[in-house]
Amino acid sequence: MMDRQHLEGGRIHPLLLPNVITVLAEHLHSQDVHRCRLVCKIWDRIIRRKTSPLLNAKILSGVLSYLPYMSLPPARLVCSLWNDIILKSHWSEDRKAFFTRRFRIDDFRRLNAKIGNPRDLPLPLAFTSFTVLNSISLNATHDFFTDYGTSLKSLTLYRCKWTLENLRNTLFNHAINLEHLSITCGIIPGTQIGFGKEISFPELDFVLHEDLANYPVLRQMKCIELEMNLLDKRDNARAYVEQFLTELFKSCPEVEEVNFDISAWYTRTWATDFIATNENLTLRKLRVIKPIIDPDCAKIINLQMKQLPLTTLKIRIRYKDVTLEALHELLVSLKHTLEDLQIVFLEYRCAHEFPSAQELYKLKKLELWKFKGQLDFLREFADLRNLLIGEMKLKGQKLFNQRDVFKALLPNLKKLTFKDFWEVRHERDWFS
Amino acid sequence: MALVRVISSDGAAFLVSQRLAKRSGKLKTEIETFRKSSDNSEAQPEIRIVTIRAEILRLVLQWLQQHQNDPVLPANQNEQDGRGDAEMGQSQWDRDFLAPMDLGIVMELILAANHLEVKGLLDITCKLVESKITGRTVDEIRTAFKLKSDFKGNEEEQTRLENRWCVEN
Repeated sequence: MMDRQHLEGGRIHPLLLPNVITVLAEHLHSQDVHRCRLVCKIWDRIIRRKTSPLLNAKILSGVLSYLPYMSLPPARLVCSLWNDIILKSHWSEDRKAFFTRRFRIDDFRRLNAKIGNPRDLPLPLAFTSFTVLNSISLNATHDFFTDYGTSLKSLTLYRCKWTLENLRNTLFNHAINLEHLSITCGIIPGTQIGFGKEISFPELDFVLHEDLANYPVLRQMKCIELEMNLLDKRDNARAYVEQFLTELFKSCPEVEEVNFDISAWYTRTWATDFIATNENLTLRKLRVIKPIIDPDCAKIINLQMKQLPLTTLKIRIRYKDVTLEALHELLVSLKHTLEDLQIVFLEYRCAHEFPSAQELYKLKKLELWKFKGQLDFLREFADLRNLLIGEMKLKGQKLFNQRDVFKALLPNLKKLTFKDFWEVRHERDWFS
Repeated sequence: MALVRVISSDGAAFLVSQRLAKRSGKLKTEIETFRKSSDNSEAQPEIRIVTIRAEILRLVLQWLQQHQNDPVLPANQNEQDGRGDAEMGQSQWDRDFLAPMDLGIVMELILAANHLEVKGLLDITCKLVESKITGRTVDEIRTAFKLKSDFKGNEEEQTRLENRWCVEN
């Protein structure tokens, strides 16, 4: 710090000692203090630290303690004092480890059992994504949601045995900034695969609200993934499920992406009804996994009337349910927006009626499953970036003979995939 | 009611009750010092705060007035993790109080709250500053708070390398 120039006869000038200046600055008049900064570099530095709150160690430490953990790394780069203070009192390798391993509920429960209060955990002050696995009860996570709920952007519930009331309370009271909700394998008690127990719905009564206008609203919610296995034959479940879905979607008016994968037919009817009748929907991406069956098909075709600006459409089609003309009509109606299309035929199908490249001029990504016949029509789709052909059946021909088709596509194609077994994966893999 | 006269750096005097003033750690100490040194127990203490100007002092006293019936938080509570209690204590009044201020005023208010040892006010203002930092880039933070980078040599590069685990690209 002090170099040779500051030494006079072996003594440091008293007015260059940091402590002295600090004390002086305390007593100086606020206008004088700023004049003193001009005296010399050392005075300037010390007085600046004294008079700028974000260079004062104590205040800065207070401010930083509120900062979510993920904001600390950029804050380190602001200046060397910030870096020093963050490293000294706010940095912890344990916390970093939590992030780099992507936090799982198992860790949380272990720690929770040991320490008791989640606020004392060596955890980051904010989480953005969280996965709840089946064995966890709501009680174990209640404190977690109370503390960290508002920072959550993405929530995955896998085989959770929460009641709808639990879910409601969690979503609307704590996780109010959620952008992505994924419910996998059933939220309704007793409806999980393989449980085989009698279903009772006493706890579901609360769902049936009288006034739809008073729903709490999750404005941030952009993406909902629903994958539930409900039992079609249990008619008493139907009213509750429909009510649940109504409530969920009414609460998320801004939702843009829906992955709809519920086994009971009436929920698909409900969903298509909802899409077809809801004027305010801003849906951009739609994925319906379970095969479209008759009543839905007509409704999906309804999308055409609605002119929904879908950019992504992923559907499965069973031969008996939908005519090729209807499919063709649907695709053409989406031609001005559609960029990403996945069609899974459940029986081998030809694609004579596939819209032409001029019609689907925006298409960038195409997945065709269980396709039969010639691929000649693909030749025109020269703008495709990403193409996947799955379980193809060529009529007595070899794929090699169709190489001309792919040659025409190759200049623009970034990714080309062939698959010979059934594997339509979730794009978000919640285990990784 | 015992009063105390608090004078700002630009000479404005505020007459407040001692009960209210004692909610600030600094003023409390000053009043006690005055009591000890003065023979006349009836005399009205006068405290000069040379580092705080009138506008800011008025805000601090206004905040104290609003929160005069809150329990006093010990200054070193949560010392270990340094985390304050702003989330718990922040009321609608506080939010309305802070809402119209620009960042410069907030900064001065933080300094004043720190100097006068008013923990509650320090907590809420720190929380406010935190919200201005979260989600911003390094340059935006530096501009917003008028801070200069003073890294030497490759220190900054080194820190960037250490940040790689969480920063995209």
